Amino acid sequence: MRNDAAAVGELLDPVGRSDFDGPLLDVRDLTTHFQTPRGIVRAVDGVSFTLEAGRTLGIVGESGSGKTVLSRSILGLSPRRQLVDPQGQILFEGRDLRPMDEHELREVRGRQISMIFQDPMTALNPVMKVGRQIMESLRVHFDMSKADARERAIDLLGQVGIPSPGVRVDEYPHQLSGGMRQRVMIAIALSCEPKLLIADEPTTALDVTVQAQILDLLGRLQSERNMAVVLISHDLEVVGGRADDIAVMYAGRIVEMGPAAELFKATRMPYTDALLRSVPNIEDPPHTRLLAIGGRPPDLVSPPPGCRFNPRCPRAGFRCGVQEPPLAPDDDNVHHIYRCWYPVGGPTGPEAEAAEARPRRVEH
Amino acid sequence: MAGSGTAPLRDGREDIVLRVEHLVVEFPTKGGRVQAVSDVSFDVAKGETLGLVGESGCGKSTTGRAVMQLPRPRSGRVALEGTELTSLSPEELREMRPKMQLIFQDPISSLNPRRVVVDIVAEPLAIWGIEENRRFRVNHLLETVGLDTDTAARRPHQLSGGQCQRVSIARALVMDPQVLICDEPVSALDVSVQAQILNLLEDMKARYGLTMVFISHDLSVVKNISDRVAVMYLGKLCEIAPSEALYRRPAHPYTNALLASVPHPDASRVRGKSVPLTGELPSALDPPSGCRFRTRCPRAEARCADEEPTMRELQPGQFVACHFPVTPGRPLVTTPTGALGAPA
Amino acid sequence: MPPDLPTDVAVAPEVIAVVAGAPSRRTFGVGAWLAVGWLVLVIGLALLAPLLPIPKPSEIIDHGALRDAKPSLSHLLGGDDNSYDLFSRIVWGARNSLAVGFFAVAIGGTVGGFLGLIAGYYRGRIETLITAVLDIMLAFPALVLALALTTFLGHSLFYVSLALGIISTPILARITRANTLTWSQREFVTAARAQGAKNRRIIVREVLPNVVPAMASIALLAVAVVIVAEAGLSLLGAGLKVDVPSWGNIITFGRSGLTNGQAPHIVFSGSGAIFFTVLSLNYLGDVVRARFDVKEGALT
Repeated sequence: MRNDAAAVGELLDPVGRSDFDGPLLDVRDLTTHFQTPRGIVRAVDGVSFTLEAGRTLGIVGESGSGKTVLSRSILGLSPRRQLVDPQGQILFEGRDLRPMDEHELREVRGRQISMIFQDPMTALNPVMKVGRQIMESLRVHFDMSKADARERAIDLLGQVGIPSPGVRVDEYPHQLSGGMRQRVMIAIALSCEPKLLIADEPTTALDVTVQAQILDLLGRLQSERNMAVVLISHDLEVVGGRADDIAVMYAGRIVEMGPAAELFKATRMPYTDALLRSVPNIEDPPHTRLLAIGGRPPDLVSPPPGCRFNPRCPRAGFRCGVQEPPLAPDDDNVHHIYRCWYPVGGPTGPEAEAAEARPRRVEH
Repeated sequence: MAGSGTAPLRDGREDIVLRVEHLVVEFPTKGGRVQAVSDVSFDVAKGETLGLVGESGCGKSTTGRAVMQLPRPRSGRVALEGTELTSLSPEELREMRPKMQLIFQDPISSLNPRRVVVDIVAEPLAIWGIEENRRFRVNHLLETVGLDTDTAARRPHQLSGGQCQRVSIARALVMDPQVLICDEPVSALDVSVQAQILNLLEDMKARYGLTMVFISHDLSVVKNISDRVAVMYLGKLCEIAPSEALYRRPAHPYTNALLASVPHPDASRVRGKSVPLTGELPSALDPPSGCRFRTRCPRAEARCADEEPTMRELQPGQFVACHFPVTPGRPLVTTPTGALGAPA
Repeated sequence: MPPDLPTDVAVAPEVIAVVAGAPSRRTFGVGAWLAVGWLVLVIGLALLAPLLPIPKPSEIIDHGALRDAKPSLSHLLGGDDNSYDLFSRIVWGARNSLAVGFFAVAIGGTVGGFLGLIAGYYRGRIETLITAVLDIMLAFPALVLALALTTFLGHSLFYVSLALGIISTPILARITRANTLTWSQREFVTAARAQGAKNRRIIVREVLPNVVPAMASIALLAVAVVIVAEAGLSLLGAGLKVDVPSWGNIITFGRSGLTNGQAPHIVFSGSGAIFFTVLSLNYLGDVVRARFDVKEGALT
């Protein structure tokens, strides 16, 4: 795992930037395990990636893949009492966030790294006017006067595309539509000019037309501010059009990662491939049979031996159930890494293993 | 979008199983009565799947429930195999119920947590006092929907979401219904499980000769499973057409906007076509005059505010409720008035 | 939230799957066993009271001598103001206090549960009517109402129970109604209706089994409250009469021993019995709820 981590660090870390030697966010071999009555849940199990300023990393996975725990771990938001032996480093501008205590982390949260959540209704305080909620963070982090903070709040609401922000600033969350609430969340997240925004399923609760608006808005604000974004979603297609790089997670691990276009064009990991093919394509004629993946994601208390996807994998060979493949670069593109013995595009496991076995039998 | 009018009804056809005419559903709210469904008409032929698509608050789920008479609609007519449901007595309606079944979005909420799977699936038989082969029918059906025999004795909380949805499907099919109304049946499921359930629904439809109404907000899913698709906005039908036609040449500006919003992994294609819908969904308490979509429509003109468009046939089988439908070859407008994002 | 959440429900973020539930959920803790032990002891003694080798509670023993008797081997807790054997009165008091508690809650639970189910399931005008009646009942000061009822009806065990049962009705009805409301909106109820189930069948087979655990938990708390309320009535002279021993009237008649400092243990034994019983019932109520919630807890 450590070797993988180092490999990833080198692969996705092209050139150093002027003010820092390293990338904005450099996660190395992150491990987040939780103690539960059923045993230890290996929610995030040795994940490494880097993210440069102004870039977008999409993290895709189904529920139980560890993507949400990963995002929360970065900000130290996972329930500390249940953490078991947290490992790895989260280097943000070279500083490791992992060993920081609550007090130190509070300086980073909001100020340097912000987060927006799936459900804006539960993330917003229902009894506080939206303006006040934006002003809160401004006044905490910048020590602004009330009048200044209010002015800035109205300005921010305008920037996130809320019509008549001067009026909306005095409204309560329930008076706004779902899309507007998510805009307010974005305004709060951006109020302190963070360098990194973590968006955890920001549009899952929204309608398609609103989803497009919110994602466009995020894209615009990101390029205006040269902000880095971690975009987490269960939907490969949502992430696909918006991210520079994509990491696909399965059972607590990154199973494939690379530039977005490359990942779609030359998918290697059978899980990514299955994810893409199991979703109905709007271009296909009606009643096109979907390629469903059998079974369901593994229990993170006792993940299967070998490759974690092997029990559901149509290409799995004998080796896959015994030995876990490393996260290794593709032959054609070193920035494209994946975890598979018998990747898409080559022979399947049984084919390859049969071919390997044949010559030996001939010699007999 | 005011999709009033009964033009899409295919009265000449003999094989219409479900016929909905001038359906109106109202809810009392603090601000007055809200028309959640406002004069909707459509029909579904035997063995056909009608997709009902729209965004949250458009009334698609309410339409589904009103067709089931759960609760009964405010006005309008719903005929199941020629029997007018809205005028039946409660007891007569109860007798009709097994012919039309519902599958819900939330796989967990739709199963009683205190009962075991086999009892849940057998409940419709118990309601109607059918003792004959009960055990066999239930087990056979569980097997058909792809559940192991050991799940029969489990309770819903011991199952995964996908398995719960299979139980729901088995329960819906045990009385051999004519019509299956699926209300967002895969929205709560993971993508990899979604495909399993969609394939299962297709299999069941073929095997039991079902007629389906498939309600969803997901345009790709709706296209995959439907023969015809109806698009709803703010309680009205905008457009109804064979799936292939609707997706290839959407005539209603709202259908266009919906299709343009569908995310596509290939970024360049999305952004190019994208005409993002601006503004907010108007309040259903006080819907816009004339066409309900006009406040957000890039093609709206004065006439749209004065006169509600009625459904008319644009192409054979393609009905649209719009004064200025988008015609093939002439792309949708244009001047993004205060549109967000989508830089060229 | 629970660890055994279905893994392919996309709406549930995976973080949910890793937050542990209360560890006492599945196993009975020490506290629960203590509570059960105490209740078994008290109920056992109460049921076996006539068979126990103790004086009858209204039997005046060693007239004059026991009045100030300190606890001894023959009279475990000594005597009380009326020269009755105190231990015997505690045991027989348990019989009556518990009887009042359970009987009153049985009345309140049946009537209140029924009203709550009807109101919560059918909604509409019937709900408005039922809640209005319940609100009026709740608006009466409870003890004054009980006082009035017992004065009017009499002080027998049945009437005291009836009075306290009437008082507990609106509370139990409201809780049942609230639970029924949430469960009636679940889609499996709609599914049952879509299958052609009649309302009565839906209430009995789909809604009630889900409402019962919450009701049982509240009912245990209600028994505790009623036992205390009976003691309150006794202090006001409106509870059970002296010939029907109860923990309440033990305290009432022991007051002089407390005020003059001669025999504070009389009041303490009575209130001690109430204290431990109420504590056990409350604790058990929580355990019942947590235990039955597991089935549902896995889902919400």
